[in-house]
Amino acid sequence: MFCAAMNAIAALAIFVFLMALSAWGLILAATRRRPDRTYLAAVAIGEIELVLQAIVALVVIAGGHRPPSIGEFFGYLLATVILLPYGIVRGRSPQATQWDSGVISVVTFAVAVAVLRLLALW
Amino acid sequence: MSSPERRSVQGPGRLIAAVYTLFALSAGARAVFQIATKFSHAPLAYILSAVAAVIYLLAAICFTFPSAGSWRTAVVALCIEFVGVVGVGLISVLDPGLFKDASVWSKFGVGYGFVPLVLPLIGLWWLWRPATRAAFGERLPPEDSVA
Repeated sequence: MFCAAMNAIAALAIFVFLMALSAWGLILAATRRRPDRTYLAAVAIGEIELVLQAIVALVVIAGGHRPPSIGEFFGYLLATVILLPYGIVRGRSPQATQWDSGVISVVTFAVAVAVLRLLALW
Repeated sequence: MSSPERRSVQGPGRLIAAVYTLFALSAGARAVFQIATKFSHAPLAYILSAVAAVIYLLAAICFTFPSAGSWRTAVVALCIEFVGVVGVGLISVLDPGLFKDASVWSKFGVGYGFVPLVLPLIGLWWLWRPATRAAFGERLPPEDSVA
């Protein structure tokens, strides 16, 4: 049921999407724009992908798969799902400025790295 | 139109505070995990990771709750952070045997894209700006004052 190659392809696709979000946020910040609705919607899509990934991971673990370093695995899994909502909350705040575009850029980059790390921990 | 009853950090500080929070969480979680599961493997590296996490957390708290006291605490924390990353970086390059596993600051933070080396400098530059000092309610002491 669990296919390592499909998992790797999905994780890499999420990684690329998150890196694009990070670049987008950086451009917004550099051009002094606060996060707009389109950008926040794209970040929300990224979060949906991450939640789906986490659900798949939990199902696979419930099915008997045991990553060698399971504590670390859960740590990174948690990091991948909690960080983008924080960025979205910051970006939606009425006081948000171009610096909050920068915050989302940093956060999406950090999650992208965490997704790669998670892939190595399966 | 700033509300005097509750100060909040504006401008680049919003980004700097978020990055410090991120570092506090990642370095902290990593240190707790390493100390709990394989402390004897590289005790020095793990203890230093924990020290780094505490300093990041302290700075993040100071940035989140601006006051004259938190401004001073943040300056001290960032100076320790910079000395730490340079010192640990030098030791880890000169005597790699002491670091069997990487800490946040070993090799000048290469594992984190050298961000740990640059972060305290950016943070201190930001803290030193008059606008930031005003936001924290920090004023320069009068001349000839003895602390």
